[in-house]
Amino acid sequence: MAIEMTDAPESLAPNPSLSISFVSKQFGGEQALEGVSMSVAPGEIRAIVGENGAGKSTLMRIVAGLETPDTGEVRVYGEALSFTPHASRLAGVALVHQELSLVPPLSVAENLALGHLPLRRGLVSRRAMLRSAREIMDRVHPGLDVEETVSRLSLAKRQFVEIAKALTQSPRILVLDEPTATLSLTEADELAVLVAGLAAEGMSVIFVSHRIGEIFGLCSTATVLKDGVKVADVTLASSSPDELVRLMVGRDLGAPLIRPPRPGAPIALRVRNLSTDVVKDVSFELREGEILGIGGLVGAGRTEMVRAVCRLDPLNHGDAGVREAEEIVPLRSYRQAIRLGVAFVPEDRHLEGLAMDLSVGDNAVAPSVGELSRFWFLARRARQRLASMIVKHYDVRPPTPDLPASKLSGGNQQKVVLGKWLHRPLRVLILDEPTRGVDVAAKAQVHGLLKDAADKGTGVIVVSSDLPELISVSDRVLVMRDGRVTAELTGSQITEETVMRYATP
Amino acid sequence: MNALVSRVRRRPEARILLIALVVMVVLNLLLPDATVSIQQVLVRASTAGLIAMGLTVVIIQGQFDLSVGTTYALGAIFTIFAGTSNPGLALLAAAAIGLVLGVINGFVVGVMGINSLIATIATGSIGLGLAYLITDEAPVQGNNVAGAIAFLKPVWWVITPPVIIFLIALIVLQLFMLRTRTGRDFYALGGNQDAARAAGIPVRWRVFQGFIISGLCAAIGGWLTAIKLDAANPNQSIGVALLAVAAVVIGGTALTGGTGSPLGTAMAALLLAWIGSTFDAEGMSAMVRDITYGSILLLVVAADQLADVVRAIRRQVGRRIRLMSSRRGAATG
Amino acid sequence: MRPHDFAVVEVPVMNLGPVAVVEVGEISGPSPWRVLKDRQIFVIAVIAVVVASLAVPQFATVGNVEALLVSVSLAGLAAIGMTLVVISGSLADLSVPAQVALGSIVGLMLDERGYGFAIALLGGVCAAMLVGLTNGVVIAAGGNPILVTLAVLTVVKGINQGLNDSNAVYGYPGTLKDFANASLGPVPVLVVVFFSAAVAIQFVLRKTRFGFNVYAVGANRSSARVSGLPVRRTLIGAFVISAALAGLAGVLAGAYGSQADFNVGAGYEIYALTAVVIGGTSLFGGKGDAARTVVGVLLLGVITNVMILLNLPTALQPVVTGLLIVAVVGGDAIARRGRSR
Repeated sequence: MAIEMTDAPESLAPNPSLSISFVSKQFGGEQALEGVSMSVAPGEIRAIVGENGAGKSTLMRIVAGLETPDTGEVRVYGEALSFTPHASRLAGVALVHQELSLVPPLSVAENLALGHLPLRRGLVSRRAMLRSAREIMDRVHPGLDVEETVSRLSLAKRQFVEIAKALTQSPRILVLDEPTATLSLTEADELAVLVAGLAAEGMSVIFVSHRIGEIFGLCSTATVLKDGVKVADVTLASSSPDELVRLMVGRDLGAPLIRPPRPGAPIALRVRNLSTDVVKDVSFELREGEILGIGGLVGAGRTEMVRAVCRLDPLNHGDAGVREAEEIVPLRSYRQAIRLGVAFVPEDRHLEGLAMDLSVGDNAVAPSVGELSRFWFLARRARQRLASMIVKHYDVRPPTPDLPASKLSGGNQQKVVLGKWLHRPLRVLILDEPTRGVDVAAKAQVHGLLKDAADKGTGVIVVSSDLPELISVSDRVLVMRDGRVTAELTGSQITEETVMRYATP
Repeated sequence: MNALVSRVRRRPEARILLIALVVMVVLNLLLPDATVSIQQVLVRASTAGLIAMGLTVVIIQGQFDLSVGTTYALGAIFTIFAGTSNPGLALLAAAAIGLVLGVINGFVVGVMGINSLIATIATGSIGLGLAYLITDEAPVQGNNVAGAIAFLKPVWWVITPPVIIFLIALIVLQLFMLRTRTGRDFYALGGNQDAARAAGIPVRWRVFQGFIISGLCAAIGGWLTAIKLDAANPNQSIGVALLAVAAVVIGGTALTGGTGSPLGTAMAALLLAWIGSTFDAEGMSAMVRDITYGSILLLVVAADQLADVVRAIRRQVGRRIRLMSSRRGAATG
Repeated sequence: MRPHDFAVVEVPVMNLGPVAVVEVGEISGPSPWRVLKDRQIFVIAVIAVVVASLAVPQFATVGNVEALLVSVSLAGLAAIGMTLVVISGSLADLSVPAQVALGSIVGLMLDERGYGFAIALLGGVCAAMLVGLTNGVVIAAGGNPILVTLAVLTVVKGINQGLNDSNAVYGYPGTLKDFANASLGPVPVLVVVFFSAAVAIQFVLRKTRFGFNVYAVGANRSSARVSGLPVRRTLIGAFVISAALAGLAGVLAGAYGSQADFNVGAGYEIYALTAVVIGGTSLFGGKGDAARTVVGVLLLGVITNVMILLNLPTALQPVVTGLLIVAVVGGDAIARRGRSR
């Protein structure tokens, strides 16, 4: 990255553009943020880093007026915010978040003008709309056809449209929440140039990211959050990526997490020449008791690959097989895969992980309902016994199987999702972003569960965008880019830098 | 050229054009001698088309209006009550009842927050009861038979007064949906309600407006029929709503909201009227017509699923072929 | 490739290591008040019956109650079936009227040709089930339920008209008609059939694997799929069973009224959906049961019955029905919004 920023310690800045003081926020008994304070100077690009669940997104949502803190205040150029989206927008705060806020069936130009379409003689002026859209897109991502329908754009392109949309408000403070998760290195560089340009004009940019490398290129200071508490404001010029990760995770990533190697363990899963519409010719073997990490950018085909492996989504070519007895049995359907001891934990709990309106117990026993039935009839006792056992064993809180799943916190919901599979004898466990939206305590529990499963001989595959997580959990890492496996990393090769190097062109 | 192709492809009317072409060709092959009066097709399309275009607006918003049938019947009844001898006054009466029903729907859906499907079943039920009450459940007669005959005389070429109303509504609605801020808001609302709200669009008020437009269109459709027949029947509501939904969906408007246009719906209404008139001209029964309508709708609805099935088959066949050739390769090598 | 047997109840013991303890307050079971509020429609129904008995002297007579039950049992059968469809998250089966009409026409045609009671009944039900199968297959493949059932309604309506050439079928005076008009002791057969169907569906929903799947698929189709539940089979099953009950209603309606044509069953879809919704089954799927629908059906029946006894115009019935929907569903929607705030 080519941009060099001058080092300006913001805490000494006389007139901060944004100052957050003693902000705390609880969600259903969990402390998401506790007494967080920070201030940002005009024209500064500030990084905010932390693990999944550290409170980054909550803090940014408070600044954008999407959440109200329990205590504390936020000032923008001296004016206290009243915590409504409207007030924050008026104060000049624009948030670009991970859940995209575009209208898919409409064109790029219309999305950019949403709510304030230009008029000419009382009718919407297409020409004026296209002109101003091109003007702003030329700056953000030149070459994008502003007449194209958003639903036809790639995730990366949508991210740029999203940023352009935020810029149409001419904000004074731009908050980018994981803007580069879907971007390739070149695109991320493009974004860095844009952000540096905006900052040079006096805009404050807050940059939330998982990628430590790019933060060092772009920002002068990083605010580190851990478990909802601010750990430090780190002046990046006098720090190192290792130190930053240590602050984020709160421990050295090393000794205690390495598991004894299991040479010669039998193969649990074999994937040969797997191709889908997105994935191209992926082959690998997973051994019993091994934790295999899958790294890469969002959109690299990781999710598509693991979903095709367990036959949840169709594949065009190749096969995946699970070892049973001495044979590798090819997987023909998802339900057959489940019968053979394959389990899949999807990335989106609300969409696919749990039925939020059903009780915790019903969710937990769903995969085992077949075994719990005599002919067509459910064995009520066995079902209740299993439900309460899962809830207890996997430490779901509150331990009430009758509660609707929606009433649980993210971490406890994830424990239910894991519990519904882990109580079964598993050969292969596949997890897609297992700790997204999970608080740090539950995250450690989830990692513990994975390790226990692996120790008992289950082959585990973990797809994760959280690089520290990927590195600390995996015995071996496959890196994917554009649907292909670009590297296989083992032992000391597994570092953030190598993963990112192979993940981007 | 490519730009032109992609522009045509982006239009919501592209699919209905294709469907119309296919249907025309098939009709021509099956019934080569059928002669259809364009004048009749246009008249036939005008009522259902008007109702369907109003419904389109609501569906683009991501809502549904099952009460259009009742609104249509009430519009017709109020027209007769106001007297067909003065069509202008009758139009006002019909529009008034359409407005009232639209406001009620807007309130029940937008303010009370009831799912629009069940809400409009309820309001439709209430309206139907009222229609039965004021008519004693029997058809009502107007007082202007001469006017009814004149109403179907062409003003110019094949263009009769109902068709003029239909065309005016088409132009106004198409312009409204494509070129006014309010109309564009409807699309945003159907495409992503949260994004629309975040952009400062008054969601509830837009829902109100959508149902008012739908109510007005349906009631004016009732007025058209009442003037045309110089009579109204409270039982006429049932088939019309279904026909309208069919026209909307065949015309390229997705029930999920955010896409489609009144023009596509109008084209679908014309297509269905063309089929109906052709079948009538050939002396075929209502049964054949209904089955045809239903099959077209089913094909359109299941198109995406069919495409999936075709893709899966192609995938399987491809696998087999690759497998076979690789085996053969292994055998020779 | 036999699936190996899982000893499900044997849960492996996990060592989770030290875990930050989060204090959780005592979780109490649902309070009696909540249970009552959850079942408010039952209370409303009881109040309606009490008020009707006190206010209208003819209401609480054996003859009237019998007439009331007979009047709701046919459309009630369709409503019981619709409950399954709604719980499975498929919004509604708008093709119910066509299924009822088809059931009545096929049933009476078979009866007319002397195939006898069982074949006539079975034939009508199976014909309707074929319609349900079509619905189920297309919807399980991802079709929008409203549009698919609407399209199927149009097609089957056409077929119905073709089947009886727009003339009514009258059947043959024999066992089928005797059956529909008979009584089991003091209880008419139609009423027995309605309540048996309700009990059976209630049992299926609450006690069988298929019932579990219906709730799971309705609550979240994707999560049901990821959990390995047979989503397609469940949806198809829900539509086929719903159609079977509609077909049964059709055969019985034809036999009871001694006439079958394509108009039998008109309006059943709205009636059934109304009863389901008034009973408190959520339109979004995953909640509710057949007992609630029975209460919805009875409540609608009581209202209609009282209006007839009071000599109010029948045209008021749809008005009252509509207002009832708005009151029940609207109250629910407002309460839900109030809670989320």
